[in-house]
Amino acid sequence: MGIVVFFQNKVFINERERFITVSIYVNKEPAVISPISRNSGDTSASERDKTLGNPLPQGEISKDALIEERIHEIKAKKRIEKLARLRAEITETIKNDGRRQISKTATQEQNQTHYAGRNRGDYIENIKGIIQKNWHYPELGRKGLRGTVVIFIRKNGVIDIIDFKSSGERLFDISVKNAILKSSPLPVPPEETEIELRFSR
Amino acid sequence: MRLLRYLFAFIIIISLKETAYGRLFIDINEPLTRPLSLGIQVQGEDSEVKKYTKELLAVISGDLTYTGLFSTIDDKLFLELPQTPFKPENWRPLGADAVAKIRLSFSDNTLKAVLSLYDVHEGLQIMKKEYSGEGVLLRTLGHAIARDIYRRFTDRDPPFEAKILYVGLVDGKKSLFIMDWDGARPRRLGISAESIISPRWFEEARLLAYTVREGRKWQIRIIDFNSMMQKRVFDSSSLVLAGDFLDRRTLLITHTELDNQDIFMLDLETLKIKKLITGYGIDIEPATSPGKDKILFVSDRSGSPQIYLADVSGYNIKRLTYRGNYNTSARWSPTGDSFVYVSAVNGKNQIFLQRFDGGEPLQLTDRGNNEEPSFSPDGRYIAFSSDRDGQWKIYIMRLDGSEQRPLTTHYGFSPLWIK
Repeated sequence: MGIVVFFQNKVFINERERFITVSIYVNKEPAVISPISRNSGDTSASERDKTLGNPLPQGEISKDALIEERIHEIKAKKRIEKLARLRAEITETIKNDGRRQISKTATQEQNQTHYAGRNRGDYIENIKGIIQKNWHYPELGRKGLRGTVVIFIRKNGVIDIIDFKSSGERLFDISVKNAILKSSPLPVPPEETEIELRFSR
Repeated sequence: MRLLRYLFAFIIIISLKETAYGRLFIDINEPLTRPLSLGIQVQGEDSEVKKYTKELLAVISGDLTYTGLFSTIDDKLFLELPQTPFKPENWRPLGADAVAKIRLSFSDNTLKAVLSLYDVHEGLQIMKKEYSGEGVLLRTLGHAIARDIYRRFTDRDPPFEAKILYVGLVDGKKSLFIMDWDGARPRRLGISAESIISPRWFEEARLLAYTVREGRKWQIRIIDFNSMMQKRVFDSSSLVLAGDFLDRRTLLITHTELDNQDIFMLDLETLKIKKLITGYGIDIEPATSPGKDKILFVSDRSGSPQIYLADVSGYNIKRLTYRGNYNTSARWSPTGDSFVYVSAVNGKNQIFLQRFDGGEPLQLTDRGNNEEPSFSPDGRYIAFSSDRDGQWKIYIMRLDGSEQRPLTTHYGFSPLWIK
């Protein structure tokens, strides 16, 4: 993790405005999920545990700040309940075992049971529709971008990202990752599958 | 032994190939359109700066949302205080894609800010930057921060720090003004005359050319924005208009000769003119391409004013507009792939966008009269003059004609973007 420091001197016309900026970059380019190496097609369960949504490790927070935080959290929880009622979107729930998972929407729950055992073609069509529906990008954004993601769909429909090829634009990459995040877990697949998703605009 | 090793390698290669070919592909195109959801928090370190946090937030938020690529989250929904360390689980329920936390402080007559930018899905900090400046240049700071956030996501340059020059009115006389791209801080340059027309900008040398008329006397002047020195370069008792610069030494102008207007090249050092485009009828308003190899101009050689294209040599003249019978004011997009012009529609002037690679012209305005379009440096926004409100004012809109809004509350005409 290198630290780069440089000065920029900007002089503007007519005003004698001066702006000096000092840039310190940390985490220059965040390592996206690194590809898992394959040993003759058999990958252990621990490697599979690279699910989406790993929480940021907590740093040191003072006790006072913690208390203040708690107060705000409680106040905000009330607001959140109201928000969740108003927005028919995906919400985060914390399961009993402490692991975080994206909860399913009604339709996905339906699909969960129906698609087990159906043929591959139908399943692919179905998940294409789900991911497509969850993919948002600004209307006025760049055109002609392409991003590729290789995903692994587990037995229970949870998606693992095993390879990610950037489109060249962070905005596009975020929208793609978001689409996959929102789509997980997918309906139960006929079998565990690896799929390459090619996003393009 | 060696043979075995080669065989082993061969098998590995074969098996890898099969894995590559065996994979399923799904093509997903045409996303649903929605901007990136951004949470912005500004924290004032001490009482001195607390009064500035609102305005700073407004500048950053205003810049980013006008691009149409970002939407900001209402701060009433925030679960985290600005000073609380970032936690992605506080932002995911709000549907946030990214969070910007800005810490503002003021000491020793220096305004300082620290921007920390976070990707909510990755749960990572993706940028940290410090800013400092003399005095309280709050809006300048806001535009710089918005610029960096924009760049981080799009790898493009935004117009947030550009200025717009325009002709305003003071005590019945025309005067040159300059304002921020968002209409803030209009200030007057010390030039006024009975009439100021057709300002043109040359970025590489930071030169401004404009035309002044006092009674029956026309004059073209150049201002060097590096030295803020002004120079008279052409005088005439008949109509002359400054056109675009060809290079730092050559200005294209419209000049009247024997009651007829033609396009000339004016050498800014010798102050001599040379005819470039002439012909039956009038030829005016030359605009140069970004590559400075072609020009657009207005000519009525066909019987009505239309937009024409020519090489900078004056040859290969081609007519471009066929719709409408009064088309003027053509300007090139900085991207080089399209141009805007003004066309009379039902007795009013409207702004149209036309791509060079064909297609129908796109009408961008429809209320009142709309004239003098000027592209932003990145080619995504157009500033123009409109009287839709009863008075001529400077307006701005996106390239597709959306989000049209006034930039001035007072008289304004002939806007010109300056980087």
